[in-house]
Amino acid sequence: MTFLSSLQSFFFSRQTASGFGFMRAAWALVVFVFFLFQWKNVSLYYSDTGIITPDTAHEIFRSTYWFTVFSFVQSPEAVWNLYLFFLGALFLMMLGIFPRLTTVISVLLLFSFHERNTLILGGGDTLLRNIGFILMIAPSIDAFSVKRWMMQKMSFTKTKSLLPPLTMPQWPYRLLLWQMIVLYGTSLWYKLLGSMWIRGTAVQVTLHHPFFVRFNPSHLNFLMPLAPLIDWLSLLFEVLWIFLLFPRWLTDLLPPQLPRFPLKRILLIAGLFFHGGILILMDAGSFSLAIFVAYLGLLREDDIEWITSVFPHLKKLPERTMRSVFKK
Amino acid sequence: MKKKTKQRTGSLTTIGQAFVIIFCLWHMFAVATFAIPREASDSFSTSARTLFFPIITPYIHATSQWQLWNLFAPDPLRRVTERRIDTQREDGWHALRTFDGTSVPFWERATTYKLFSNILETDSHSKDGTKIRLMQKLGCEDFHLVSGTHVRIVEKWYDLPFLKYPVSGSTWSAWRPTNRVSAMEISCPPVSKKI
Repeated sequence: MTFLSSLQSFFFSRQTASGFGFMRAAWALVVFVFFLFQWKNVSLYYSDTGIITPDTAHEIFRSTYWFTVFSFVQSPEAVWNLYLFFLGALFLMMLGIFPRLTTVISVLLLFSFHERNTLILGGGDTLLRNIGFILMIAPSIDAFSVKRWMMQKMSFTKTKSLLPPLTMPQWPYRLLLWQMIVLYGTSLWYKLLGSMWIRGTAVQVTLHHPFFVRFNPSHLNFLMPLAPLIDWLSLLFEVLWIFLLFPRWLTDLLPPQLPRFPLKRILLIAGLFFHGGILILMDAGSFSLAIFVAYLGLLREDDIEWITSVFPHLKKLPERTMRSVFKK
Repeated sequence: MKKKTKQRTGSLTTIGQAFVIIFCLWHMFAVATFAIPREASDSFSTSARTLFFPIITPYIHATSQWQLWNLFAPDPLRRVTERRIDTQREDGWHALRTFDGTSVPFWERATTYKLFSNILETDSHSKDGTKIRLMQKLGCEDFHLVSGTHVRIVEKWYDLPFLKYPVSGSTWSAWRPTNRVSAMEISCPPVSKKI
């Protein structure tokens, strides 16, 4: 294979579009829920009578390459209307009604809301922006959508058969995987710039911060002997994501006696426990859920096959559901 | 004719694919470079920031892809702050509202925490106007206080210990914070003169 054909294959060979369909719906759901949480504070956060007024805007907004609908929408009433419109677009995006249009609108509005007030944003919001950008430009996000359902129904009515599974080129998947590697890799880099993570004391301290921890910190003292191990396992988890940069042909050079592991799948499962643990023990905003949204987009055919082998009742569930509904 | 149509509708042309590949490589480069920790002072990081930030920053900002993954890093947050907004009456200061781990509903905790820490926990004077506006909004306006009423935000804070090595649960149980207090006071403006 020549270099150019390898490059073409790397970015354009086909893969299932199911992961990105899941991710579209999940992204919309998470953004919808977390913006619903802001119901009482919309005017405070985003209008010109709130925290950031025209007189204080220069202290917060950057002066260049700053684009937001809120340059034109400023009064509390207009902001409220835009907020409701945003929630509506997200709801339609979640269901997959006009998926491309509602995705573009939802993502661009998310950007606008975030640019209007950066003071309330956390890591989860950043990741949702990053995922949203990839969703907006990905060529196939129609899986698990009302639109797809309608097309399947038409096909079944005409031909008594369902359409073949949706596929897409790999490049959006490559962008998403790269984003996650950058996330975990630079997070590890940041941790190594300090000293507490290396010393194994970072988790101990974090579990005693009453604003982040969901429980009374004193009730978590029984975890202190485990905390250093959790600390170092977190670092190991982040290091392993960097190994996803190594091409598969390199592992083919290893002695055949050495076991082969599906590293990405192992990291996704480990991530479920890692971020799930954070979600249960701590309030870190939308970060854990944003990570899970990204994980959905990283599912490929072999991952979905593995999931259905572990949970057999999920095997071909969408097809079986559609056939039974369309036959009626 | 049929062959040409099939080629165009079935996949991108070669030029289209080349554009997508170049875009992907550019985006991946920009995102990775922008995410380099600002605190990294090694020669690679400083050179990369000096050389490439002027090129990538417009793209990153325009597409809202700015990102820094310093969650609980380099070291986790150790400052624990409770905040209270007071108003002054004839018989002294009275609390209007409190912002701590229990007084804010769970769905508002993360954003409230971020709002206060990003506005109030800056040493420079770059956000003085926003600090005053915060107190005007959450004190004067929300409680309809008349012009000239004094309002203050009181911060009671302590730092979790900087641990050089892991300690036991009983050590944590015995640990007691050292509280410090600071306050910032303003006078409620007339309605037309708020910031």
